[in-house]
Amino acid sequence: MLLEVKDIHASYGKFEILKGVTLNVDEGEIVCMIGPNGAGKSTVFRTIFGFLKPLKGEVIFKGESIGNMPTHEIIKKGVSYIFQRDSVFPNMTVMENMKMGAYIRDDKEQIQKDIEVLCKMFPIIKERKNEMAKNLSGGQRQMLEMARGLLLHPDLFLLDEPTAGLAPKVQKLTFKKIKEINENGITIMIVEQNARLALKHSDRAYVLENGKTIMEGSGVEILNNPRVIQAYLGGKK
Amino acid sequence: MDLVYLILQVIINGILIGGVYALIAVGLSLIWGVMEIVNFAHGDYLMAAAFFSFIFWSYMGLDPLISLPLVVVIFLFIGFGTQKFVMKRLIDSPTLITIAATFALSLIIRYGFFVVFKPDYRVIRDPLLQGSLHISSISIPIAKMVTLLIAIITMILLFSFLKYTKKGRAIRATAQDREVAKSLGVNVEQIFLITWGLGIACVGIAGAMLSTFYYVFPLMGVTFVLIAFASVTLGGFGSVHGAIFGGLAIGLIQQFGGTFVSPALKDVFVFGVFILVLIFKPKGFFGKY
Repeated sequence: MLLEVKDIHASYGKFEILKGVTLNVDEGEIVCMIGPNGAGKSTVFRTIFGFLKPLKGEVIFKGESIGNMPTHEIIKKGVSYIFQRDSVFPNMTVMENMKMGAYIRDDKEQIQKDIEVLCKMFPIIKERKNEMAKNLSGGQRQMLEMARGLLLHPDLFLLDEPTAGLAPKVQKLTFKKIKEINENGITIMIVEQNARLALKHSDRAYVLENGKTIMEGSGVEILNNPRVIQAYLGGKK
Repeated sequence: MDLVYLILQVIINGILIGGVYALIAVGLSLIWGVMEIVNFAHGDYLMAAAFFSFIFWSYMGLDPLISLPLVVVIFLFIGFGTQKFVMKRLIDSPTLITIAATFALSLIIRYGFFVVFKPDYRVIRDPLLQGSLHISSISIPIAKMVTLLIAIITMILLFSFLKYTKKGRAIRATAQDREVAKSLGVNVEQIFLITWGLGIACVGIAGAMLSTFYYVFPLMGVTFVLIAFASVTLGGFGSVHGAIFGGLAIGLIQQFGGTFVSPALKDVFVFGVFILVLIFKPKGFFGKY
């Protein structure tokens, strides 16, 4: 088991957002989390990533409890996280953004090699390497964020709504890239608004409601669950 | 023809003093840009640096130019200390709290020196840098010229650091998006420490060089900090390039107003422009806010 989240509770100030989230992720999987706005999906990610300390419960990564570790140590253990919001550095070039992805690494030559590999996977990075990141389109920024996150060599990649605000065609491309990353041996956890697309591409899925995990199943199972269809897929199969 | 020389002289004077303003403003803008802290004590650090130069000269016979490297190192550490012992506790505090904190620092430093050194004006006699360069009827004071040169070198070094080094990149990243920088493993507290060090070292250099051609007294920071604020506002808060543009522009405005209208009114022009910028271009010319 790569990641185990056991009954975590977490709050922002007085507002309790997570009221018992339990889930696990096996190596090599793509696991998706769906649920309504405000269910606490992003908060689960922020708690795994050390931005928020759980009040109760445990986060275990590779057999080690990481619930109280600072973010920079969790990164070193092999977790990479891409925010839901725009997270490129707007006034830095594409290449400078990439270099920031390798901030905690000291192996200069290997970084250069990794960047070359990522340029092949995401050609846009090479094409616009000297361009300010703020001049990229939404889809291009998403690619840059993913490539930058991969420079940390994560074992677990947390993607928070990777397709938010993107055109349908670009959403499909994003999922193609996610599959490609997964095929390279990286375990992926996704939070998605576009539940249908996400479930189709996931091995397993969890449904989060009101700060609790209420359902678990394979991507197909959840996709065909009557209640999920009713609540999140617009009532249509 | 005389008018041409006069205008040239005024431009030169404006650039000479504008370089100092720019160096003061750069530190202020850097600290704001990275941490969103308005350092009201900035002028008092300037005063303290001028006093350090004065003390090195009067007790040890070291010319300000000779003691400059010492003052730079001392102020780098004073900057680190400011973060470590004062501002670190206030990292996620509302702006009002950090304003109150830097304002308190300002008063403590200013009146600390006031008590120890009395309000007297002091001058460094017989400095290494004296006399003027004369080119036909234009004169350029050597001390101011060297100060400008040192200001330029300092700013080039600062830019190169921010632009080409790993830590410099992390400083810019933190300024643009603190949370994302954190998510990539940047130790934000260390970045704040470096930023305070650099910002205060810059104002330290400005203070030390000012002591070669300006009076040294406990209240000298007051005027300079206001001018630095005007420079940063003109250039745009958070933009280091903007601070340089602002400093030079304010220097020129002040000299033109002072020469062609009335010396007594020179600062009126500075703050008149300040208000106009706030009204018509509140983000400044290069600002992100």
